[in-house]
Amino acid sequence: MNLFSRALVDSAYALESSEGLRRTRHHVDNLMNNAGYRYKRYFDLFMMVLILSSVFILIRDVKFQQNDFLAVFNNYIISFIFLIEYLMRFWVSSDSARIMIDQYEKDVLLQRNFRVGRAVMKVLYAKWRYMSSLAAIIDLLAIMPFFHELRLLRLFIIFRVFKLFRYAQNMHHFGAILASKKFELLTLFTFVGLIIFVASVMIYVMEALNPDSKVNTLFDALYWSVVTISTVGYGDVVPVSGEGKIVALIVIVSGVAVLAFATSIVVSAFTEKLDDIRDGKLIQELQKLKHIYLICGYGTVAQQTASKLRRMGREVVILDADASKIAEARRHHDLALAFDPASLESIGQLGIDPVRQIRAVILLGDTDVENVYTALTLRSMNKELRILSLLHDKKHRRKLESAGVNDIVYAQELIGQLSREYSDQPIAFEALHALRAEHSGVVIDEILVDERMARFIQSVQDLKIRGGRIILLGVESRREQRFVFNPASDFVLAEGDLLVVIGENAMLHEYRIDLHKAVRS
Amino acid sequence: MTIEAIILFGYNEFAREIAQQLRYTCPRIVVYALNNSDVEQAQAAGLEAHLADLEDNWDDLLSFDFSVTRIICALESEAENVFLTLSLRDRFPEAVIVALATTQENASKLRLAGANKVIAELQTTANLIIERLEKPVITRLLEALMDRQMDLKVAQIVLSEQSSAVGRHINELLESTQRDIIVLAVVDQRMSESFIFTAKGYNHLLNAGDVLVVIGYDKEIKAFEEEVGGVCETDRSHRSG
Repeated sequence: MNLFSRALVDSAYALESSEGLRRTRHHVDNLMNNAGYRYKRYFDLFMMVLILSSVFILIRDVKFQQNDFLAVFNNYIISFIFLIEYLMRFWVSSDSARIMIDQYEKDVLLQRNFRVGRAVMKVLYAKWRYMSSLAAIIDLLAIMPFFHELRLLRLFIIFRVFKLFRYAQNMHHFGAILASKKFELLTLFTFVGLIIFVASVMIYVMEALNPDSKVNTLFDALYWSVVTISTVGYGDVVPVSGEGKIVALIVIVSGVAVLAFATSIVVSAFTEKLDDIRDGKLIQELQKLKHIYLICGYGTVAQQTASKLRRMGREVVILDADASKIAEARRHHDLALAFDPASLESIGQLGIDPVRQIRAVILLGDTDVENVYTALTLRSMNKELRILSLLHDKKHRRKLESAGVNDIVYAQELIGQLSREYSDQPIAFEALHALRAEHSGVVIDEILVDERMARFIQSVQDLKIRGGRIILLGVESRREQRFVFNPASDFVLAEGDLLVVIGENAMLHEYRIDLHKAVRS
Repeated sequence: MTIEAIILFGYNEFAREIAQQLRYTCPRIVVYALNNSDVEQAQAAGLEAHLADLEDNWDDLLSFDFSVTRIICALESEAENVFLTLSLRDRFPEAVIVALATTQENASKLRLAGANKVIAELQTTANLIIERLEKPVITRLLEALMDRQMDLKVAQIVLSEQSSAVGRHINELLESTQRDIIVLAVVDQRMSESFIFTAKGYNHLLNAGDVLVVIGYDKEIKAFEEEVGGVCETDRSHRSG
C-alpha cells in the first residue's frame, strides 16, 4: 500500500474512532433528519421563520426602497445560514470514513491490495447521490441569492419557499401521499396531456382559418385547450365555428372527467394514508412523553385502567394488534396505536426508550398465552422493565412468572378476597376501602424519604407529626426490610424509607410542602 | 356477631374463588346453582349445593338466621343477578346481600335492586392494578391487613353502655391511652353508617354503640378493648388467640 493510501486509511480510522466527532455527527444528523429528536422542531421552526422573512423582504423590495439592513440580512446572513445547513446535510448524508474503512477491510479480507480508487469513487458517488437529490438541489438554489449582484439570482429566493417542505411534517406527508399514487397520477397526466394535444390541434384546424376566431396560432389553441379543460373558461378565446364548438363540448366533458379522476385519486390516497399519518403524529407525541404506562391489549379492564390513570394525570399509551380495538380505544381519547406489543419490530418502530420513558407495562391481553408472549418480548428488550399482568386462569400463574412478569393480578381471587372480607369484617373492610377509594377525602399515601430529606430528618420525631390530623401508620424500613407499624418517636429513619400516612388530601399536600420547607430551612 | 353461613348463588369462576376463600373462615357455605352440572361441580368440591330456579319462592332459605348469614349473588348473567337480588330483597328485607357486577352501570342496577354491597369486578380490578403500580407498599399492607397474614390486624370495637370512652372525644381517648394502636375511624351507628375518620373528625364525641376501627397488634387491641370496655366484634382470630 502506498503512502497516499496508507494516509487515507489512517485518517478514516482516526475519524471513525473520534468519540467527539461521532457524537457531533450524531447530533447534526438528528437535527437535520430525525423527526423524533427533541431539538429538531426548534431548528425547523427557526428555518421556517428565516424562509418566510426572506420572502417577505423580497416582496417588500418590489415597491419600496431597499433597506440596507434587510438587504444584508436577506442576501448574506440568511444565505450564509443556509450554506451552513447545506454543508451539514452534505456532511451527514453519507459516512465517508466508514465507506473507506469498509472497502479497506473487504480488500484485506480477500487478501488483495487496497483499491483506493474504488473507495474514493464510492465516497464521491454517495455524496453525488445526495447532491443530485431534488431536496439538495433546492437547498443549493436557495443559497444563490448570496450572489445578489446578478439580479436574476435574486429570484432564487423563491426556491427558499420549497425548502419549507423540509421543515413542515405535514408537507412531508402530502408529498408521501402523492408519491404513493405515482402510477395513477402519471396515467392522469398522460391522459390530460393527450386530450390537450388533440384538442389544441383540432381547434387550430377548425378555427385558424376563420377570420372571426381569435385562435390564430397553435399557442392560442393550446391556451384555449388548457383554460377549457381546467373548467376555468375565461371566455377571452372562444370557438366561433360549429366544428370548433363541437370540439369545445368534447373538451369540457373531458375536463369534468379529468377533475373527477384527479379528485378521486387524491381523496383515495388521503383516505388510505389517514391512519398512517395519524399514527405518525401519535408516535411523535409518544416520543416526547416520559414515565409512560404502556398498556398492551385493549378491553374493558384496559379502558377502566387507562381512564383512571389519565384522570390521575399519568401518561398512558395503549397498544393492540387489533385495529378495531384501537379504534374503540381512540373513541375514549386514549393515545392508542394499532401495533403488536408482542413484536420487537413493532415496539422498535415506536422509538421509545424503555428505561427513560416507560414507568411500567400493564399486560391486559385477552388470554394468558398472549400476555406471556408479550411479556417475553418486552423482557428480552429490557431486563429492568416493570411488568404487571392480568391473569386469566390461575394455573398459568407460574408461566407468567417465568416470563418475567413482576406483578400478577388475578381478578377472581381478588373478588373472592373482597367477598370474604366484607362477610367477615364489614366495617373494617369498608373503612380500609374508603381509604383506598379516596371518596371520603381522607387518603392513605406514601412519602419517600429521599436523599435530601434523609440528611435533615433523622428520626420520626423530626417529622413533626403533631398527632391526630395526620396519622403515621408506619414506615416501610429499607434498613430492616419490613413494615414497622406506628414507630416510636425515636425510630431512626434512613434514605429510601417510605412513610405510610393517613390524612385529608389537602392536609397531606400541605404536610409534604412543610417537610420540604423544613429541609430547606 | 359472627357469620355462620354464606349462601352463594352461582358456581362460576368468581363464585368458586369466593367459596375457596370463605371455606376456612365460615362454618357453612351453601351453593345454589342454576344448572345441574354446576351443582355437581360444587358438590365434587365438597360444598353443600342445591339446584335453584329464579322463579323459586325461596322457602328453602327460611331456615337461615339472616342476622348471621350473608347472601352472595354471583350468577354469570348480569340480568339474572339483578333479578335474583331483587327477588331476594323482596322476600328477605333484613338479609345482607353482596352482589357481583362487571360494570359500574350494572353495579347501580344491583344497588337499586337492593344489594347492600356491590363489588364491581372491572372497576375493582382496574383500581388494584393502579394501586399496585402507584402505591405498592400501601397495597401490600392493606392486603396483608385484610388477609391477616401479619400479626398486625384491623379490628372493630363496639363501645358498650359501660365503656369508659363514652362521653369523651376521640382525641381525649387517644391522648389518655398508652396502647400501641391506631384508631382509624369511628362509625356513629345512631347518626349514619358512614365513617368519621379520626384524621378528619378528631373531636367527635363518642357514644355507646359507636364502632371504632382500630389497627394494631393482637395483644394491644385486646388490652385497648379491655381499657375502653368495648367488644371486639368480628376478629375471630383475636378472640380465639
